[in-house]
Amino acid sequence: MRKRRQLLIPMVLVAAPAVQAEAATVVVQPDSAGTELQELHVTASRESRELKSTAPVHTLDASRMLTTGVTDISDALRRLPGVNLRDYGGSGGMKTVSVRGLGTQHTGVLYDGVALGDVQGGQIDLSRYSLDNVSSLTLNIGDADDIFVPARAIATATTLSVNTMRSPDLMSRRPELTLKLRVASFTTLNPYLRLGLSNGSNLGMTLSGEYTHAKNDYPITIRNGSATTHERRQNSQLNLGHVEWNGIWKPTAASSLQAKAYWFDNSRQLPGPVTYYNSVSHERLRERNVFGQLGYRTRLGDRFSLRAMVKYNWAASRYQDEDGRYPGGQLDQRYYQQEEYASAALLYRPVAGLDLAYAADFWHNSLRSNLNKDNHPLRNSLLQSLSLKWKVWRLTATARGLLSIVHDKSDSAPDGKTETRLSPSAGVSLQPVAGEEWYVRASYKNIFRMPTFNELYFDHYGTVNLKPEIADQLNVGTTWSREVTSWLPRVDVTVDGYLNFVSNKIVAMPYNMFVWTMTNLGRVRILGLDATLNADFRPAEGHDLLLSGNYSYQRAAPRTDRSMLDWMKQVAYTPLNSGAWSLTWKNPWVNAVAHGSGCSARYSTSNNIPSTRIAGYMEIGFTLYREIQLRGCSLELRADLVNALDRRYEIIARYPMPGRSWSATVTFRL
Amino acid sequence: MKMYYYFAAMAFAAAGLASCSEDKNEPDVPELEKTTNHVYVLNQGNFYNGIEGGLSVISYDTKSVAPNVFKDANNRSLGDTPQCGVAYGSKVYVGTSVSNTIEIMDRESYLSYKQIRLSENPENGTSPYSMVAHNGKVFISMYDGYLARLDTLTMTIDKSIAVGANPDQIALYKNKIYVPISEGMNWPNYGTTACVVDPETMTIEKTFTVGLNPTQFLEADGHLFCLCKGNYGDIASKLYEVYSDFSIREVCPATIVASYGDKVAVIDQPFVEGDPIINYSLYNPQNGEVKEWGIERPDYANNIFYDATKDRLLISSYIMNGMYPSYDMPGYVNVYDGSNESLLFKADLGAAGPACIFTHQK
Repeated sequence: MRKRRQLLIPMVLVAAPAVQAEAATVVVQPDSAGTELQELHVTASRESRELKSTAPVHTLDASRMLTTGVTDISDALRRLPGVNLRDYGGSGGMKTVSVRGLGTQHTGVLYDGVALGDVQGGQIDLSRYSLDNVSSLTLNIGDADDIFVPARAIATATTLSVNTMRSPDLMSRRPELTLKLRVASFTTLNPYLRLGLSNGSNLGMTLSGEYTHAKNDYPITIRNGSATTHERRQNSQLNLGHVEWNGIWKPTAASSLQAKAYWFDNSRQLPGPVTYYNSVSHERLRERNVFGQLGYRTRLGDRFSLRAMVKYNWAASRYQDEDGRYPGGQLDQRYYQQEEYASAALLYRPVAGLDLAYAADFWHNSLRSNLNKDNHPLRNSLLQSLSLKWKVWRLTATARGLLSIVHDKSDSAPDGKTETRLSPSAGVSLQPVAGEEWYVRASYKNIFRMPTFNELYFDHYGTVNLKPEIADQLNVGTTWSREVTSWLPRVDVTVDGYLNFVSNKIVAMPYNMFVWTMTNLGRVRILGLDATLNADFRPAEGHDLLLSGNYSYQRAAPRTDRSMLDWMKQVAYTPLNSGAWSLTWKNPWVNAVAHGSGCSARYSTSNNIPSTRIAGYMEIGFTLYREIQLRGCSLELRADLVNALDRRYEIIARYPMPGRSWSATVTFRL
Repeated sequence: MKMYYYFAAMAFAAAGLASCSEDKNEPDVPELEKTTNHVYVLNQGNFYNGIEGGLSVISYDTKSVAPNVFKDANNRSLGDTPQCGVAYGSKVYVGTSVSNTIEIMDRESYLSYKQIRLSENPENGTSPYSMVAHNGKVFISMYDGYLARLDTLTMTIDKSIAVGANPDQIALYKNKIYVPISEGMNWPNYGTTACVVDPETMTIEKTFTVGLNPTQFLEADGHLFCLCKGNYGDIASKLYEVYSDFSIREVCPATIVASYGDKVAVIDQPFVEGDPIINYSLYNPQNGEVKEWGIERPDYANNIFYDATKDRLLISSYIMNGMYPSYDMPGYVNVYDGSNESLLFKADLGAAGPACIFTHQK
């Protein structure tokens, strides 16, 4: 048995996508070099990473999402500290995140460790991801401690990693099958299928598919002066399909080849903002995305590891609006994006405790459209990173330098423009007392984001000479974990304070109502605090009470110019206080969860005009679930009551969120 | 729930009709003797930032503003993005371009007589953009390509015709309706035509060529002018004079124009990057002279209106946000003496987006 484990460990290691493999029960969690191997429960490894990391990292794995009653991606994001969710309501409403007041375009999204890009708008709509195929969501603020990553993975101020379900157990020939069916309010139907196969030695694959149909005609309340009307959201239907294939081949114990093919098609109606006396909307949006990627990882002797990856991505969006104001009675805008991406990274461990990594990424973006004035923009990006991680005594230190060379070209700027920047970052984590799970940490990161193609080239809006927007992040924090008594087996606390600066902020300013322009005008200072608490109580054998909570304070103050009307006010849609909590009672019968999330009031404008104040809210929900073990398979039953108090609120002005709703889920696993 | 809403809407409509039936059974024609010493200002608000617009009334006597008089009187919103209005006879008519309504209210009490929801009958046109009143009717350019005629007695749209894509600010000139066809939603391929509509028969009598992107007709001292806003880029916004044979002549660069007695008041705030030179001038149609206008300037003008009955000149303005005008914050109106152009007072509107100024139309 011992021998077999030794063999299994490196094999699983190289199979681990993005060095973050997570299994439902037991996995092997490597460190960066892949030479210090420990067998840990996934929860322990997650907690360990969150506690010891030099910069804040927060993970919600599938197990934790279940036990804390997370209902969908929107709910999951609200359980992460520092996240300010922009949710346009309902399952079809766009959802983007801004972390610690930096703005949505400073949040990168990694899908199984590979960066997703939207060079047109610069932000990823997270509503496309259902949680069915997600094994974990990880939020890294600043740089993660793992330095053996593509250069692009550290090219944003914060990253949200979406990790899909793990590969099948290659040692077993037994097929893995998951069937899930979710039905919910507002005519929502969501079947999901996942099949995992392997040859019992070194070859495996998974195929997963999901479909979501939702009418989304949830009730809304419109207050108009002294009158209150009750209507339903209209033109809000959603049809979403997603199929994904993953393959893995391990030719040797120290190497693996992974492939992924991804297809996504989302056709949805857009209800638009709530309008007085007029609920008519004919807007539609169809988004399609296909990509394929191939990744290779290997160890080269005892001191080197290599990873390489290529990817091709195609994305199309079509926006239609039937309205007599448009030529031909319809606006029909089609956009096509392509990306070719290659990445390679080399990890070197000269001595124990010291890791060095070099990564180089190149990708090419293009955007085409059917607009009358299409500038045919192109972008070539070359990123190189040199990273160091040093573990000595009770100290972990990281340092990075990222060299970015970005070349843009378009019809309106045929000579092109090259932007070259060096972005440093560093972090340190110290365990002050040996044997105590108490750490203090500090980190700094300087990074930038390139202007999007919309900001550069969109007619009547873009400005071709825009400079990159700069973000500087400082974080100081502490983490603490302890096994207190037998009835309080675990308490985790993290507290982080931060100071961020955004300069050269790209903002839209008007020449007049018809012509707006993008300028590098803004400066913002964000002062904040994030805190998390997780505590497990065990009042009796077979009974656990799990308390989980997070709180964030964000003071995001524009500081562009004293003559500006928003000087030192609060950035639009940024609450001062936000948080979420859950209380779970695990018992032998039916597990029960109460949970809530909310925030204080916000303004829809940075001028903080009183009439644009959006009231705060606290949404409360309840979850019941039970897993039944059958012969060689399991059945999981789950019921959710979402927004149980039927709180009517908005996150974005005039986009009401759904009131009370329910969902029921049956999951069969073989 | 749906049925409940339906019945509520029916009840509301019935209430509107009841109000209608209480109105006088005679044509709603102007009664200038009832004209009070005030002017109306529509504030567009900022729909996408959740800022509500409304109707403000500026009193010349008290030099004060009564903000949002419609909402105060009716306990409900005027609608999203009030776009155009006219006061005619005993009523005020307001079009909202996003809510797609025409609100008809009493000119004294501001109580609503009727709300017409254009999206329920889109064949008459939707998205009202400008209004003029004439001979017991209100003519409304609808941005989806129509010119509609509203009967002030029945308070219904009695006729509507297709005129071309995105008609903008219409004008009454020699008993005809002049309609600029901007094709503003077909940018960058803006329109270059306008048409003449007979208000009695509601037929297009003539289509003629003007400058690029025509957005406004106006009449001054018996002359007809057309403002063409160019492409907001290398083709500048200009004022043209339109002659009786429908030929045109370029007058001067302009972005905001209004008739001002026997002259045309012109403001040119070019749509260019950097720090453009803003010119205020007066054009005299009799001798063709363009003279610099030394009036005390507001921060960033949005509209000019001359109230001939009271000899008051009004210029609405945004407030500045650093170097740029703010479309979120409440704007204001400078009220000048029409004879000597001295600033009489500044009226803070209390609402964003001052869009349209009007008083009782003859």
